[in-house]
Amino acid sequence: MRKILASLLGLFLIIAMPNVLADEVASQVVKVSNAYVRAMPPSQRTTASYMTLVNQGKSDHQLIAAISPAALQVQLHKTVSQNGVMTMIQQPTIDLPVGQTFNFSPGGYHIMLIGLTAPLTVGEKIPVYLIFNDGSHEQVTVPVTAATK
Amino acid sequence: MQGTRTNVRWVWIGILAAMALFVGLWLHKQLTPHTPDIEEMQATVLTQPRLLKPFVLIQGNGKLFNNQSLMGHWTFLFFGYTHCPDICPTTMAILNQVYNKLEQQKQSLPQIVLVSVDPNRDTPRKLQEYVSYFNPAFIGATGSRKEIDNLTQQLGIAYQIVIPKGKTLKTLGDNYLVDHSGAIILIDPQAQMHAIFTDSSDPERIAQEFVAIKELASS
Repeated sequence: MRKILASLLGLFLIIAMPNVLADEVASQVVKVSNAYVRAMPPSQRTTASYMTLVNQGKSDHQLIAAISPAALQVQLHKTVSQNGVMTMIQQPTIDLPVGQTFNFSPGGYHIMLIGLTAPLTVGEKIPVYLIFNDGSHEQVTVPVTAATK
Repeated sequence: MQGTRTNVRWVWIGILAAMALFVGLWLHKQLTPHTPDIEEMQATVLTQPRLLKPFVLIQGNGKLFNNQSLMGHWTFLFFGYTHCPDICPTTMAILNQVYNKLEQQKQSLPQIVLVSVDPNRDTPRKLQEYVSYFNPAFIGATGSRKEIDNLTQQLGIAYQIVIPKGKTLKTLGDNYLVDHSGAIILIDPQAQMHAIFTDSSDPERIAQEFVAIKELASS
C-alpha cells in the first residue's frame, strides 16, 4: 500500500512539476528596463517607445500587444531597409525565448504610439501595458525623453 | 673607468630619448583626427558632382527653397514626414548630433533640411515646427507633389504611401505610413549632388566623412 502511494506521489510529482514550471506568469518573469518614449512637437500625434525585455523565466513567452491610455492605438513594429527604402512592418507577436534579451531600439523594433491623447512633455511619465500570450500583463512606467536624445 | 660610465649614461639617455620619441609619435597619431580616404568611407562620393535641375519648394517661414538656397554652403538633405514614428526622428536626432559635433570642431556649418514626402499632411509651418524641435537652425521644405517628385527623382530618392490591401488612400484618411529612402544626400556649395550617406546611424562617422569630403572638394 505504502509502495503504491509512494509511486502515485512520484508519478504526481513527475506530471505536475513541468506544469507548475510552465504556469509561471509572463508578466512576473519578463523584466523591462531602459524604457523611454520620445517627445514630439505638440502638433505631432505619433511617436515611438523603446525598451529592453529580458525573459528571466523557465519557459518561452510572447508579447502579443501593448496598450496605453496615452494613445488611441499602440502597435508593435519593425523598421527594415529594403534596398535603402525604410519600411515598417507591423509585428503580430514578439517572441521572448527563455533567457533571451529583446531590444526595442531606434531604427529597429519599436512600440508605435498612434494618436496621442495629449502632447507628451519631457520629464512626464506615461503607463504602457505589455500583454503576453498567457493573458498576463505588465505595467511599464515610461519616461518621456527629449527628441534629440 | 670614468669614460665607460659616461658611455653607459649616454646609452641610457639614448634609449630614453628613443622611447620618448615613440610615445610622442604614438600619442600624435592617437590624438590627430583620422581623415578617411574616399575608398574607406561609408558615404558614396560622386566622381562627377551632378548639378540639380531647377526645383521650387517652400519653407515654413514662407521663403522659397530652390536651387539658389543651396548655393554658397554645404547642405544635408533628408526626406521624410512628420507623422513618421521611428526612422525620421531617429535620423533628425542623429543630424542634430552631427551638427553639434561640427559646431564643437568649429567647422563651417552645413544647412540641414528635411524635405517632406507627405505634402497632404505636412504643411510648411507644421514641418518647420517639427524640424525646429530637433534644432532651431534646421529647415523644413515641402511643396506640390510634382515639385517634390522633381527633386526626389533627380536625387534617386524613393518613397511610397503605404496602402494596406483592401483600402484606398481615401478610406485611410489621415492614418497612413510612408515608406521612404533612409539616405542623406550631401549637396555642395555649387548646388550639385556631391555624396550620399546610405547609412545614417553613426553621427561621429558622418561628421568625420563630411569634413573629409569638404576638404577633398576644396583641394
